[in-house]
Amino acid sequence: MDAETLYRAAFRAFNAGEYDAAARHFGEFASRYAAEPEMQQAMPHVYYALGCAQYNTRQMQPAIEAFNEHLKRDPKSAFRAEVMFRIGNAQFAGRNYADAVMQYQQLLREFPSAGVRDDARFQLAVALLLQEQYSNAIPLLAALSADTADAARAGAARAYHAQAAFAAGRHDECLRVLRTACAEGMPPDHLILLSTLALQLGDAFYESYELEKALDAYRCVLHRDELLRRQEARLGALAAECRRLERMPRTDLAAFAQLERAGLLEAQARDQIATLSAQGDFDTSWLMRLGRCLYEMGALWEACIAFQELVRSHPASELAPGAHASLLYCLAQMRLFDEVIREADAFVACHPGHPQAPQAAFLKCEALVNAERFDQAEQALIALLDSHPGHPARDRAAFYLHLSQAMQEKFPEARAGLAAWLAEPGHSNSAVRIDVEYWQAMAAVFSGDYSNAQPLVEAFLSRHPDAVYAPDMAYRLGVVHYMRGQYRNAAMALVKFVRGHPDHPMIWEARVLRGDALAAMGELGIALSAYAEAGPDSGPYYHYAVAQRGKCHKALEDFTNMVALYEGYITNVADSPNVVEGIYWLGWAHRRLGHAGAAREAYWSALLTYGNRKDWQGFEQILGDMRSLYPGSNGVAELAMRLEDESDAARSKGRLTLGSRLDIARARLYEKEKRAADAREAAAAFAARYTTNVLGPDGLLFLATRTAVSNRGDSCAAVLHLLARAFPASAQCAEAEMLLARRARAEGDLDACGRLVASAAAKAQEVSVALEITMEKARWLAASDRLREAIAAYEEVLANKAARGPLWPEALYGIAAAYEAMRDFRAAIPYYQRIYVMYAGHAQLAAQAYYHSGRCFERMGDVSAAIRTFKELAEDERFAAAPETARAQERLSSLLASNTQ
Amino acid sequence: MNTMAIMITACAALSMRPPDATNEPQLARIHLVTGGRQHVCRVLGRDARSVTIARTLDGGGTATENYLTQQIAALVFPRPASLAALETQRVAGVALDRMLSNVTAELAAQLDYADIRGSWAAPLAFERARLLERAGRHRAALALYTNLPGVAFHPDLPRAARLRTAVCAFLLGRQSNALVRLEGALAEARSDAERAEAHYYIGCARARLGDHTGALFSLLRNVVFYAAEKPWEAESLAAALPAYAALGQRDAFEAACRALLCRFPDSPHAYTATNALHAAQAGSNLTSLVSFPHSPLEASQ
Repeated sequence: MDAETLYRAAFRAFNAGEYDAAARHFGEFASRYAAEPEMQQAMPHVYYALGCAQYNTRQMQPAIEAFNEHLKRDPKSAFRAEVMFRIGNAQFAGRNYADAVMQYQQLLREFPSAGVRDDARFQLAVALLLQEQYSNAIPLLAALSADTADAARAGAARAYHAQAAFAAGRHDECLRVLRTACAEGMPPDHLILLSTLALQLGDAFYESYELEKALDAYRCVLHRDELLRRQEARLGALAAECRRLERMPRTDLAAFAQLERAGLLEAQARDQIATLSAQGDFDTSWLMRLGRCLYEMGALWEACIAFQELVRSHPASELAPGAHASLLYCLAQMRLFDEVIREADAFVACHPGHPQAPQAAFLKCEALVNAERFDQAEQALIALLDSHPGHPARDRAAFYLHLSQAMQEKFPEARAGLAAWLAEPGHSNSAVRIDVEYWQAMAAVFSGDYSNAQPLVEAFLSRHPDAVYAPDMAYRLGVVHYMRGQYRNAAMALVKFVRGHPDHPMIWEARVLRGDALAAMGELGIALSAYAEAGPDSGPYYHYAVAQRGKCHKALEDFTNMVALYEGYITNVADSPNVVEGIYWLGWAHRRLGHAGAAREAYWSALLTYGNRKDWQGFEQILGDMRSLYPGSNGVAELAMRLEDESDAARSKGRLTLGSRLDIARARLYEKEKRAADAREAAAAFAARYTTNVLGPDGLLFLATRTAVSNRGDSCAAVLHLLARAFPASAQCAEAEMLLARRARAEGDLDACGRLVASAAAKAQEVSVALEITMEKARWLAASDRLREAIAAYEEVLANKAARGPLWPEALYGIAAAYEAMRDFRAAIPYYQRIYVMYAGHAQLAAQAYYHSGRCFERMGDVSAAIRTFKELAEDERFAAAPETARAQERLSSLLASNTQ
Repeated sequence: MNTMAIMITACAALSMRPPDATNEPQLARIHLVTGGRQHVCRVLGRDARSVTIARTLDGGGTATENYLTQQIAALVFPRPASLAALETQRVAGVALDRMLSNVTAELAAQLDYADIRGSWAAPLAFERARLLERAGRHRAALALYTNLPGVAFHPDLPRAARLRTAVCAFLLGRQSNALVRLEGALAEARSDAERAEAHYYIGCARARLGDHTGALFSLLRNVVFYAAEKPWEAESLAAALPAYAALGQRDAFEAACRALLCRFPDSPHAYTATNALHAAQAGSNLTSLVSFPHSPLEASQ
């Protein structure tokens, strides 16, 4: 081709984007005509185009030469800035960073406002970075990262700024840049670089003990999955961008440049994904360092989370056991005992042969002790000591074992173990020796062996007067003296304790115990002062102290102060159930002073003050005490009148609960005085006056048991159910449930009967009610055909002396009937006989016993004994009206008739 | 053949394959844009080369038209303008109302095309539900999340919606049910942003059920791992305070207050943290100082 043709062909190829062909053509043109004088004007353009074509096809060194030739031929070229930039880029691509730096610097000097200025500055900064000229690179990168015009370049500059600062040892600056990147959004093309840098920076700070900064750096790391996710997403976006740009015409040089940049970034993203994918331990290293840093900063919760994440997400990692052990230590320090136990079990299960396994097992034992799961702790400690006899904390483990035994009240084992522990020579310098000595003494105290406890307590106080246990031991010394009857010593020890440790948790108990010791010595005056130290703010000790003071006043016959004592007590404990006892003693004291009127008024005051509260349980008890203050028939009439007047007054003021109680009291008074008609009238009036919603548990029970509730449509059972539901903690609830059980049994609902009996038994507060419930239980068992259990229940009643009265003969009858039902007639007969011999006054029951004993004889074949028994029944006038007498006569006739045959 | 420049928005099944050979939904309608106007046309029939539609004319009546599939220039629905708005969760007040109104209108326009591939009905519905959440209308948001139209063409939306329904369930007071849903959503989470939000609400749900230890282990994950995911680190630190108080962890309580003050001095929680820290250092009972937040919105307000 001639020159013109070659020239045109070259430009045509260039314009068509066929840069290889263009480079060939321009190269040939230059080699042919570079020296031709007529071509000199065109040659700068040729060399420029040649350089561009070679640059676009990545022939960097030839491009540099072509561009240099262009500049040499046309120093004032319009393309000078661009060409200088391209030369710099070509040198950069060829890794001639020094030349590239010089080129960029020259460009920026000559063209400080060129369009490629910022790109040139960026390239210059990166070249300086690669040349490790950090102090020169950093200012440029800092300025570029603040440039909001090109977010991608700013992000890249920030990433390289951080890298340069780290490499230059300017760690604080690196951290500041990282923090800014995190806050403003990590540049998507440099995530992995920044995360890796953050990890390294964190390590650097950690090594120099700058833990806060290390933590800040570690918090800038993204975990591997998230890094890969974001990089994959970025890769996808870059690939799509490349595909889009590839569809653009090759002559669109801006698109071409973007394509080149996107291609480089795509390749970089692929490399980074590949590198990170191969780094399986990226997260584990980071998590372990993070956890360690947090732990040393005292951020135990956060440290736990880091260690937990490592253990859960990378269980097979070689760092997992170490992290798991660290997790255990954290949890133990945080006193999260359930978590310690769970993680210790997991550790031992996953790493049974690991050197830390014994320590993990020990931590579990310690957590069990701290969580007061002493039975499990004992078993675990035995297993630990058996499996790891050489455990470094063996002394502590052994102590925990015996402590656990003591806390389960296994005192013989605990005391023997603690004594053996102390006797072991290897434990003489143990850190827990003082704890063992303390618990040895305490075990002796708690087991009641005070004579042996005393020398132990005294020895402890002598050896360890300043120990943390010393105050408690000082108190126990007083207890031991008291329990051994050494009251003077007890008083002295306790006064010393009280004065020395006024804020000790046992202070109130010590004060009242001192009072007891002084009272036992007969020093009632001083005992009163000691008891008085336990005021209302001492909680439950106040009630005890007042009761004891009352006894002292009673013993000293100081009834005046006794009155003052209980008047103050009643004021202080108005809402307490103990107020009833206080009222009782107040009245008693008044009576002893001969002030019957004052006693009465004290009782009336209490009844009228508290009696309208449905849940108040003291009414009956106080009323019972008050009756003795109304002696004789006049007294009864006066009391009845007062009850009626107060009831009227209460009802007029709307205090219906109080009114109901006063009416119950009046009805019961009439019953006791055998004024049956008055009692019935009072009961009927009660039923008409009061609805169930105003009654307390006593009123409901009275309504259910005494009145004709059917008049008002209520059923007895419904009232009893209401009582049980509304007042489950009342003294009447057990009786109500017992009555309901009886009703259920009568209706044949044995399941309900059993449930109610069990519930009533659990709630019984009085012995008489408890015995009734036991009887009902026995009847239920018999009805359920569980005869042997029924017999056992009846015998329980018989064993209780409080069951004298109708319950004993009923129990005897129940046992006999059970044996008879089991066809053990020989066992049944003696019980029947006992009834009609010893309890003939219970006519109905005795008649039944007579008849059934005769039937037993009959069924045993002892006809003569049967005849004798039936004859006795038939001839005894006391039982003439009993239906069993007629039946006995029939049996007698039958037996006699068959006997004569 | 109609040679007008058209933009047909339809499923790719319109391209070259006969309807029976595809697994894609059979089209009953297409969305025709001509002369700047939109028409919804009924598909009467199609084959490998062309499609026949019925288009309602402006003056009434119906025109039957046939188009070569090769003439189809693009098969896209234009992206709704409201979906281009970023950071919708940061708007409030009048701006929120306006955005909600815009999205609602665009959604109504798109609902007719919910069964057509390329339709933006599902993303718009999702966005509307997000804005309803922001406005505190969680019940309405939850109803929308559980019934997104055209969700078959946006396979990731149901997963994202499950997290949102779990959050709404929590904010509506359904603690135990919400906890199960939140834990399920956490297992499905694909980004740190989703994990951080799930951990926050799981922590709050556990705290409300009385599991303060479990609450802290959830909340503090946002402090340790997801500090970059705004606003969850600050919210989690603030939500951790009542849990620390309930467990009597005074040192950790004070450290959390200091972290809030140091890292988030301009946040609403900084004021609470300042007061709580002063009172804690003066020996006040911790549980009287802070209460559980109901939601980030409540705490921010």
